[in-house]
Amino acid sequence: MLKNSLLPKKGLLRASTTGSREISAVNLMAGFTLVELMVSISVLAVLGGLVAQLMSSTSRLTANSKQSSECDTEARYALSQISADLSRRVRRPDVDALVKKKAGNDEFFLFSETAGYAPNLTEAKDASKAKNRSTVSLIGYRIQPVQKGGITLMELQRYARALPWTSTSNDKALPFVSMSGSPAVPLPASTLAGTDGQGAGGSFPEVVNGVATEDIYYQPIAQNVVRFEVSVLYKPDMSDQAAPKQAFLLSDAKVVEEISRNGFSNISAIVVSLVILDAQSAVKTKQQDIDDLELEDSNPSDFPEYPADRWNAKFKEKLPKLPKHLASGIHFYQRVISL
Amino acid sequence: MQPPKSQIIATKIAPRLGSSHLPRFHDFARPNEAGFTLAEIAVALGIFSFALVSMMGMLSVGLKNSRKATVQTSASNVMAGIVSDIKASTITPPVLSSSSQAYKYLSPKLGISADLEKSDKQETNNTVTSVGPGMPLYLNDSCSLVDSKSPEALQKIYSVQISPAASGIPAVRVRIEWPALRQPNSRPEGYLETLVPLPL
Repeated sequence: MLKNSLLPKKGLLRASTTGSREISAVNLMAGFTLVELMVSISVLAVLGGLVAQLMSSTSRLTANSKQSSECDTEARYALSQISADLSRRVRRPDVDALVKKKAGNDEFFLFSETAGYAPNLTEAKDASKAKNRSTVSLIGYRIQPVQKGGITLMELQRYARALPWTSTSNDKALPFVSMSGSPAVPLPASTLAGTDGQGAGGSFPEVVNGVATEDIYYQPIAQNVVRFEVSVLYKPDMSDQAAPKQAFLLSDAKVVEEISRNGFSNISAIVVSLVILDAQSAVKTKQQDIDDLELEDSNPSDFPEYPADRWNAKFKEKLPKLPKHLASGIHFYQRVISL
Repeated sequence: MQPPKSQIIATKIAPRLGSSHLPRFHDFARPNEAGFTLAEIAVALGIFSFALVSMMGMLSVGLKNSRKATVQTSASNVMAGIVSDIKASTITPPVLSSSSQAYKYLSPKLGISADLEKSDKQETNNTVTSVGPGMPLYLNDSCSLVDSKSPEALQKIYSVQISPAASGIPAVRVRIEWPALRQPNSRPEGYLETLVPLPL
């Protein structure tokens, strides 16, 4: 009986068709009609949509600025590390250094009075090994693709290897001056490095060539660095004192020649330029996107532009066609490091 | 003595069960409780909108602060770039025959120039007499010169002014202001200023 009376059909029928008491009660205590509900829900939906939009644009903006700050931090760390290594370089004209200008990503090697990794020279108890250890390390920088969770990311790595004074079975000696002739005279750095740093004439290329396979001596110093360029500012000819002169950038071919021949003696500053992607866009960016930016100097001249200026111009030109994540996620950094 | 609770409910519901329609909310409620009044709703909406507006206000303040911090960080990067450029300046010593006995400094990247008069009598009394360029430089966040007339999209641009330090100090004063494009004589949103000693 109770169950039957609770059936909605019956109740509804009664309420809508008969009984003045029920009808007046319904009118007095009326709830919202369907139209009212629909209007209120749609107003609420519009408001909710606006707020959600505001929220999402805010979070996107904060994420963007956080990403670009993180890029700044990476760049600052890498550039200050390179400046520190350069300021502690061994200041002798007969000490080698090498800049390898490659399409896009350069490599740079120098000797610096800084700590380096030396697994074979670290046992302090072994007097013969401890004696062998020098305070000078071979320092280098390169860009290396690294696999992380199935994605290839680029990182800037620093090579730091403490070298012994004399060769051991495990370590080559510091390739400083070689003596030649009788009485022995030191050979200039150029002879050590061979022609333009490419030859097999001396011990420095030997060390540097070996470096490529020695991943154990590399440590990452900045993430998502897709370009690393080393340029060299040459001291101008000051013999004519009529007007002050500006140091100028050497062309790529001359950089290799000058550094491997004369070390840093005619160089007033090293210009290091980096292209860094923020973490979000690095995941989405493919190698092809970077290649499409054409960051290399397609038309190398004797008086090249500063890399960051060239990149900025290229970026401005390509901006309308760039994928969105790359347009907002790419950052250029450049530092003139005086020697 | 009170009848048991179940019996009270039964007697209350019974007559309606007799008429065999579905018991409704208003069958149990007092008839004068007829929902919210307009005033109540207005007050409730007022409180709600006050909360919403203050929340939105906080959001916009947070956003503005985070943007300020980003701009300031990259301004300090630009400052580091300018300082390292000035430190890499070439120095042209004075020509003996010339009347001016100033050492001329010229920076490689931005072309910032300075003349330093060295006093023979007092080593400490070296004064920067003139600096260049006289006009502000417009730099983007990678420290490249940009055209102030056509600001590039998605870039922060800073205006940089170079001036000589006080007499007797061999240094130049560098002041970075942002935003670079603003009404003349209006206050900048932020600035950084530092003294850069000239390499001797």
